Amino acid sequence: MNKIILFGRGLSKFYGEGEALVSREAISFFGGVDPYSGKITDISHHLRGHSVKGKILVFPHGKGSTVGAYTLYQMSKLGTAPAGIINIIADHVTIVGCILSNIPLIDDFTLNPIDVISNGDYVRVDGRRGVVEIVQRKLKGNFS
Amino acid sequence: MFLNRNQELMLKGEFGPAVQKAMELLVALGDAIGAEKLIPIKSVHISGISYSTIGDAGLSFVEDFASLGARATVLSTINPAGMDLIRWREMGVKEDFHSKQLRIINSFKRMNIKTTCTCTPYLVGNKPERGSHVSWAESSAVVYGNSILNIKTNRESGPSTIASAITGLTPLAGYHLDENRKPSVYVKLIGVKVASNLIASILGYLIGREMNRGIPAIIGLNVKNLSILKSLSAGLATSGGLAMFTLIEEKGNVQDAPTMKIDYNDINHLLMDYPLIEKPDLIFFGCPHLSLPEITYIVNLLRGRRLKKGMEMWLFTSRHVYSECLRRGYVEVVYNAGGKFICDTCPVVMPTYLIKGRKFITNSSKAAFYLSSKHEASVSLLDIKTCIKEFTERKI
Repeated sequence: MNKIILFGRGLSKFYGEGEALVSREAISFFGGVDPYSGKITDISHHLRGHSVKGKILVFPHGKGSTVGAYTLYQMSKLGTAPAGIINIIADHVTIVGCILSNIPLIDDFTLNPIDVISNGDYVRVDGRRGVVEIVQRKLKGNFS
Repeated sequence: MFLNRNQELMLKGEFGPAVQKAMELLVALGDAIGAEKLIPIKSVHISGISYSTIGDAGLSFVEDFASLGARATVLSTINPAGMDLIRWREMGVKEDFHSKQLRIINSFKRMNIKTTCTCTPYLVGNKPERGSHVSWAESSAVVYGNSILNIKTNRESGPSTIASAITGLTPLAGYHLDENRKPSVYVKLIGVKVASNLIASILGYLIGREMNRGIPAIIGLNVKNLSILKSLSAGLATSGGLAMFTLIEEKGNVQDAPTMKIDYNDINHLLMDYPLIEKPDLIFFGCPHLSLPEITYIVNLLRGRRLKKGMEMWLFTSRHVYSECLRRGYVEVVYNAGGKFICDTCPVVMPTYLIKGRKFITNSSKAAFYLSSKHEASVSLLDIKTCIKEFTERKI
């Protein structure tokens, strides 16, 4: 396939790639994700039980606790952090968490990344240029 | 982002490595969010204090800052720790947790930051005058600050508030700008009476979940009780990324703004997510930390009564408010009823081994969400009056 390129705003200027995990709902890293396993624990979340470790995590924006920046930082030290984050509009907590943890973060696209990217797609996130590339589509097995 | 000469020097390291590191973080954040410059702030409130929430990574982060010689330059307070700093042993906190928690607290002390250990800074002296720019984390305090105290803050994070404490600065963007402080959605309540912390907390949770972002203007909610507004703030901040709400009498002549309706069934639906479980064993009030009027209310309901067998009661508040409770004899009343006060902490940020498997009753949607998501505890939502009536009996 031809790769699909999305242009956004690079907020945390690092690079990462991996399989996409797409959340339609907002995420609170503190309380909503277990830093030791990388699994989503939020009882109200549709991806509860899925791991964000090494994934390109796509979600609208952060919610809840302001401790989330530390949770991301902790996850990066423990090796359970996502490889990159794509938001519709990022919030301060996610931005600071990503900057501290060397996780690329891009938001503010002309297309909604949640509609364009599917679970399992192989995605590259270049925070320096604000560019997201979907290099390989996963055809089956979507669970969102 | 534009930096003045002094700020350039701070970034270059002229004022030492701690100031430099703090500036680097604020400049990176400011550039990311498109701030034109940094502005001075009147106060700071820092989140991420419990060892249970920030772990070894957070501990090193805070300790490193203190070791670099960081000092707060504005009034700065901190969120709850993971234990009562005095009665931690009685709570069942283990030695290892205690020693790491103390290292975090001592790091803040070294940085000249007031170790208030409460999520209600505005009840313990961190209450800047209206219109002040501040840098606050703790999601419930952010909403309360912007909405009730009329101060201006973004939903800051733990690390960015430490950076602001050291530099006395924050990026000028978001809620610091008046054009971003206007309502985006109008909320109409249909048959919803907000007479308790419980209902306020649920109403907040529902609005936050529905909106996710933006500023709700709640129409006709004529509540002056600050404790109830504190619960509303906490609920709003839990389910969404909200930082502010407003209360208005009527919608007026705004034509096209979207309106959200919330009726009593919506409230009941959320209550049914946390139904009364069989044999609950622990009543918990104080998320956010109890204010003096709330404690007075609880104490008056408890006088002459005691908890039924097998039931515990924990009341969480700041050490500051606790001292006043001691003076007024409230602590004795609670103790005689079989309950206890715990200061400096709350179940949301206590070690999981003290919480997991417990069957809580509380009146806070925020506590209900974090206790069940983070600690795998069972939670029932009930208001204070019903709870005390149901689970205490008259002393003979």
